[in-house]
Amino acid sequence: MGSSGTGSFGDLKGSSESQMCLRSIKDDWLEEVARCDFFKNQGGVPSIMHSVHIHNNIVNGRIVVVSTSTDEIIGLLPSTYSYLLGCMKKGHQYMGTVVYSVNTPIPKVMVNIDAV
Amino acid sequence: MQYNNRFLVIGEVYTDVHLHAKSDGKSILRLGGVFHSARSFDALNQAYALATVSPSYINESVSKYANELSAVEYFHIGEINNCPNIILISDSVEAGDQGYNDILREQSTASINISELEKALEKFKPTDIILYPGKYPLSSIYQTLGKTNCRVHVDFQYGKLELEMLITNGIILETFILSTSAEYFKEECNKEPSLLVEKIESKYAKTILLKENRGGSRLYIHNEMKWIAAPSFPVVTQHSVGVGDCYNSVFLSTKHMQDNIQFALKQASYSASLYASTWMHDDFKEIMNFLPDEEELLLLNGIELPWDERSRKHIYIAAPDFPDVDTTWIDYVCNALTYHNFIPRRPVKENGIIRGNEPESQQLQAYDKDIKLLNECSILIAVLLNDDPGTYVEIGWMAKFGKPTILFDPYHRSYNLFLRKTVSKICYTLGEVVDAVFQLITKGEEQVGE
Repeated sequence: MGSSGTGSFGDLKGSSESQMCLRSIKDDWLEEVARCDFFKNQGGVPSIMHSVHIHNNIVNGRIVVVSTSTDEIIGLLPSTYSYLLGCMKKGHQYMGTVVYSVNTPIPKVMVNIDAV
Repeated sequence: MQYNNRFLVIGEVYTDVHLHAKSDGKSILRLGGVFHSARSFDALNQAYALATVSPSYINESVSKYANELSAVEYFHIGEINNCPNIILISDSVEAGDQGYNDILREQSTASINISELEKALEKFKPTDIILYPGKYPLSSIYQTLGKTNCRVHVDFQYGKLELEMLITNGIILETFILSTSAEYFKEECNKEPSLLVEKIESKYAKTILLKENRGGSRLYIHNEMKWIAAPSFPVVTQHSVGVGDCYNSVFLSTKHMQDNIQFALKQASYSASLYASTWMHDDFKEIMNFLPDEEELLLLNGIELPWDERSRKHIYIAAPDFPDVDTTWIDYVCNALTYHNFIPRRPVKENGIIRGNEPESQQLQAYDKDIKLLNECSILIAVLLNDDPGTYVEIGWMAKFGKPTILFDPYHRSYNLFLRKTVSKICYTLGEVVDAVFQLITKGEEQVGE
């Protein structure tokens, strides 16, 4: 049986544009929707296809997703996306839409968000 | 940020082979050991040099990549013989006890060329030394370090002998660094941070840095007799190898620049998350140029689940944990949870197996015990091995009571709508399960029951 090599040393090279900052957020639930301004002020969750974006500054220690039309906070982004703080500092902006939402039994909002 | 200190990193160079992480169909292979610190210092624009102990065949590559990673100098201070210093890594994300195989480790021999270390100290003039002990003799190195005025930080590996060497050579460490995965923490300190502080007295070290894996980190300051803690920042983990070294580099650089320990801990934690989230050094380096500022980072919430608190978090394992089923995946899950100091609870093992032909009273007793166990647990992990009705009912029970439920589906067989939509999270790998536990267990009932 023949053998194959694993090449040579070296770190994998990324593209010139940081790939981390370009990763899409797909079908992710926002957190604490019922406690956020949008739900409290509007009396319900935003409808499907509602436009959203990620706020440039953290609010109460978390990255938040806001309604593009009302500027109210819809929910918190899961904390696995904390690295986006650096990306936004670098100049990236993130926009998307609500892909699923429901008021009962627990208010829930799912979003898709991309770097623009 | 400008970093005025000069770090000399002493340790081995390895070839890390990630057996299950592939790029273009081949196992990912990188320079490891001190190179994890090198990548971090390079990304921080921190002046540093490497003093390496490695087999000579690798030296050309070490020199080339030290240069690429902006090391000011590189000194080969020791030789490893009879061993290639190749580590085969079968669990790159440290779901459990990292599967590291240091090939031919037992037969390796090492020699230190102390004049090269002296040359490094004289020529590079470090302010700080980070020492990563390994399979090479430390006595002459400690003798030499005892004669310098540098701050010495050691990622501790060994036991009493190493502590005696510090005393003999008049070294009081600036930072005694330990991870909760280290043998010393497990064996000598009984996995108790308070015992660690008792053992590593102020005569050995001014501070103790305890890294608690995905649950945060903390620094004990002897002259203030207090711990300062910081959360971890969860990411989608690509790998965990060298993440602790990245943490050390960023923490120590930041600590001596800023008079704010909390910030240094958080910056280190945030940076370590970035290191774990990509294999690409270019990506890592680029995003490190845009670290959050101090005010922002101090406000940022993460996961703070100290090692000693995890043992109060019991995790219900819902699965067909029966003698006629291959329970290897259940064992893996339980071992990984235990490794991270959680308490997995296996109802069948604890309350016994019921076949259906037992007296009613015995069946009811087992049922009641299982329900009691469900109520005692903070979170449930269902291991989907076959269509086991008990597993499904247990998921529903926990979900109804607002507790997080994780479905571990190693065979990708969860097609049922109700199953998929009832659980809090579906995971396909052990690494994902561990990540999910850290993320969901801190939310508890409050999140789901809102």
